[in-house]
Amino acid sequence: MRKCRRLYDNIAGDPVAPELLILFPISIACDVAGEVCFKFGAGRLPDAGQSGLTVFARSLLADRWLMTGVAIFAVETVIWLRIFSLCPLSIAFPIAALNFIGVTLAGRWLFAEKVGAVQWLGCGLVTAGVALLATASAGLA
Amino acid sequence: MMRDVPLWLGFLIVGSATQLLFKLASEPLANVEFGPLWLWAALHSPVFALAVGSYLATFALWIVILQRTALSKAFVLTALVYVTVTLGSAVWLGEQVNAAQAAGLVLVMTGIALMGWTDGASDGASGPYEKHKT
Repeated sequence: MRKCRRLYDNIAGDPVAPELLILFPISIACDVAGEVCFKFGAGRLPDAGQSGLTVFARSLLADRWLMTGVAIFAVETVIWLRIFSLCPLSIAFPIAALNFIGVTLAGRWLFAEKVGAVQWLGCGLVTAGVALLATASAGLA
Repeated sequence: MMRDVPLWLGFLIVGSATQLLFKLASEPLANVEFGPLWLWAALHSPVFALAVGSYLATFALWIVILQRTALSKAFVLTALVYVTVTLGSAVWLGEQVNAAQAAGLVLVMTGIALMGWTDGASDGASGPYEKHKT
């Protein structure tokens, strides 16, 4: 944490790195794509209660969708390391909270889930809450 | 929704424990320069091994949740981990919760209460559960 802070101090006052305008959308797209892969994969696995834990764990590790999701998150981790070196956590984390909206849209479009007004309100409050919490917590680092 | 409460409790407890364990494992490593030596030290820490195991268990629980819950709903509900981790850090790691953090916590909990209040959390169930319904 202290290291990130030092990087932040170095670039404080500098204009936003243009690279971030590409990296942030990519990181959110990775989040959404990863969760979509997990949802697809989960639907192909047996019921853990019926198949037993060993069969469940084995099919989990063998599922292409799930492992694609894991690979996407591995790529995302590298992207995040780059983002951390370009901007302070207090900016990076709140932007990451947009993934709640992205995943809700993906559930609606790709899996035909019904998302009503109350659910959107809940999603908005959670996004704002996590963004605020993240900003406040990053300031302490 | 109600039948999934034990599953969510398990996910939250194991998921929060993972974060706290990683934090505990990172403390002795704070003075080690990030690199091969750091990795070597991390791989020899029992707390780090426990954290990784706990992380894998969280992943398996998440997949079980996705088997029986709509993605749009389940994903937003995972924000509860922010609440438990913040409170857990306050109780067990002695970290302070400031006013802005508290306000964030209230927003997250209000949003989640609204989500839980709406029906049809299992509308998007896929896989074996969907087959049972028909």
